[in-house]
Amino acid sequence: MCRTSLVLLCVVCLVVLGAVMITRGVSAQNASSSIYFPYPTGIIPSDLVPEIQRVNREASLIEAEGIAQWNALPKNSGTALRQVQLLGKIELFDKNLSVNKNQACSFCHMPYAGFSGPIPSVNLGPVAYPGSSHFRFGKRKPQSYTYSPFYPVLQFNTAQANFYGGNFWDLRATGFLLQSPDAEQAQDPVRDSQEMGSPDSACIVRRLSQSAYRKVFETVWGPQAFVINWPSNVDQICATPAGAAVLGGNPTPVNLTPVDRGRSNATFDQYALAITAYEGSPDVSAFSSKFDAFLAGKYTMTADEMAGYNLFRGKGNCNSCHLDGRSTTLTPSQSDDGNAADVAPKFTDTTSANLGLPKNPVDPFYFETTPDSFGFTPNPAGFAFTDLGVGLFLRNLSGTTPNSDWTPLAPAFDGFMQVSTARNVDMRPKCPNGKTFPKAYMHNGYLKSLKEVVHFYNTRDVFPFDVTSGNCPAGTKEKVNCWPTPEVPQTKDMTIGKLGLTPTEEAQVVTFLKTLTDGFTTPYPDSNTFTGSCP
Amino acid sequence: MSRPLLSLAITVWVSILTFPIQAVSRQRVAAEIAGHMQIIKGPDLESATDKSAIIRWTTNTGSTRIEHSVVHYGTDPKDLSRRAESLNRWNQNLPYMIHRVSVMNLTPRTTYYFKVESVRGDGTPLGGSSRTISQFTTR
Repeated sequence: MCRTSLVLLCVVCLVVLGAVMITRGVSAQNASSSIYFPYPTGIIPSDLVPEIQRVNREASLIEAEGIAQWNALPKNSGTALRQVQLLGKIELFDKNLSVNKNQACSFCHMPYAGFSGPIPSVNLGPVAYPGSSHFRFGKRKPQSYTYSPFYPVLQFNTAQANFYGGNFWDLRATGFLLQSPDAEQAQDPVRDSQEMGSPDSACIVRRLSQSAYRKVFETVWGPQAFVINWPSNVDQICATPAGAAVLGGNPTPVNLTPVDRGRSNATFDQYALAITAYEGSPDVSAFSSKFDAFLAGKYTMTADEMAGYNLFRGKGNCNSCHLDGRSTTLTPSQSDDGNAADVAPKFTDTTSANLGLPKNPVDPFYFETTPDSFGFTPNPAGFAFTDLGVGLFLRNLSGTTPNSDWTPLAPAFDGFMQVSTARNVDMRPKCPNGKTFPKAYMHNGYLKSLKEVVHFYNTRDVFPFDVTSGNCPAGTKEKVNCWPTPEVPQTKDMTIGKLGLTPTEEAQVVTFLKTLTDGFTTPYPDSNTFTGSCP
Repeated sequence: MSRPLLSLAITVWVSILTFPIQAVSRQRVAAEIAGHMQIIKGPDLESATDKSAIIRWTTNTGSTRIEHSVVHYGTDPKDLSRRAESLNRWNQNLPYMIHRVSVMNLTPRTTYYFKVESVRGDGTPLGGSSRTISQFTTR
């Protein structure tokens, strides 16, 4: 071929190649810049983007700290427990485990907020957090990791006709396979379309195999962990958000042989078990609060703290769900001898309850009624969606119940949500401006302070109004002397609602709740990693 | 009589003879549970709207962690076949237990007659039952 023809051929090739690259680049840019935003003005905080960047910076620093801790740890059988705990920590702060490599598990669960929501404006507003795909949102408040491993495998107690154990607000992480609800919980958000959004559990394994800490994983679980023949399109699939129309509803779009799928499933289970090891460790579930010091005889409560404690386990009746470990059965002639039956009380009985909370109408989930650029519609029902909690799970509408005998029980559990631990309800970072870091409470974050929480328990049935939130009648103030109608009224727990507490007594209960914050007897790890500001 | 047949016959007779004892034992257990709990205050109307009411009473003790407090009611004191049930949790530190039941889907300006009791989740009666019929009126 003569030189002129060769040059001409090269130019043509380059032009074609350039055209292909530019076209692909534009397409990718269109896909990534096609932001999903079906929300009316005022629902999504205006500082969301810089706040996402802030939390991601904080999470990256903690991940680096985890890796440094691993590197400093002598590796022998005597450090095996610490090894698996540190692996769990590193995994939790790794944003590459999300579909767009932009969101770690801990993005929604940061240590300084008791491993719950780290963005003040989100806690005050939408409550649910944005997912890896911008901007799909979750529908419930991110729960605290602390003490979550202490919920047992979900079981039904026939005498009491009630469920014990399970994780998630709706108990759908039953623990039936791994025998740990907390480990099974860790397998869900990574694949949730609204959260970290991977389309296949194999994608989490793929990302772990590509991670900077692959060797850490293999040291803990063995060199077989990532021995998988990946299909050539695995990374393309794993960059496609769960729910995208192109996936055709296939929960395992990564095409693996049965043996490789089995290997991937086993590694995915091991990923989850490491996370629960960390969450159950003293780094997270510390038992280091003032109350723990009081139980050990090393702290004397103030008068208000003690008054609040006496209300908590007396007239307030809080301890009937939030077990304080003093479950002494009293006969009329008996008095409480002051000794704790349980020296490490969990402050939850691990059941669930319907507190009769109103709907929170600013939950972004209600507005996600149109398809995003991947052809996925998160919530076609819009405001008609009613969060039946455990009732959804029992009907296989949220996860899948592993025992079909439980499904007929659903109506009795409509509106039930997990009884959270009362520990660390007041764990929050110091704000640079001296104000209080805001936290949201309950599954829909309707309540915004411990004062509101206690007032709700005390007066839900004293100030009931047949209105939705935002529509309290003139002359009343919502959350003071007007409580909107419950989202699920027929099964509301009547233990609470009219406790007869005075305003002073309400304040004393709040004061007591503050003694349940870890970090008193020993410093709480990573509690000083907040770099934001407070409104 | 052959040996297996003899064994079968003995088994059958023993079951027949002891069945009343077993049934009485179950009843005795239920009665024992029920016997401890007595109403010491109420039942009273805590509050009422035009379509709902909250009934409240106090017993001297609870007897299971998660109690189902029950209101049997109707518009005719001779027919209390309608039933409302709410969960109430027992605080074992207190020498009493408060029971509250939300009764819904009622008719305005109507008088309802009712009795109350407590049951366990599986329906086992726990006692703490009304001795007389009470009444309330919706707004």
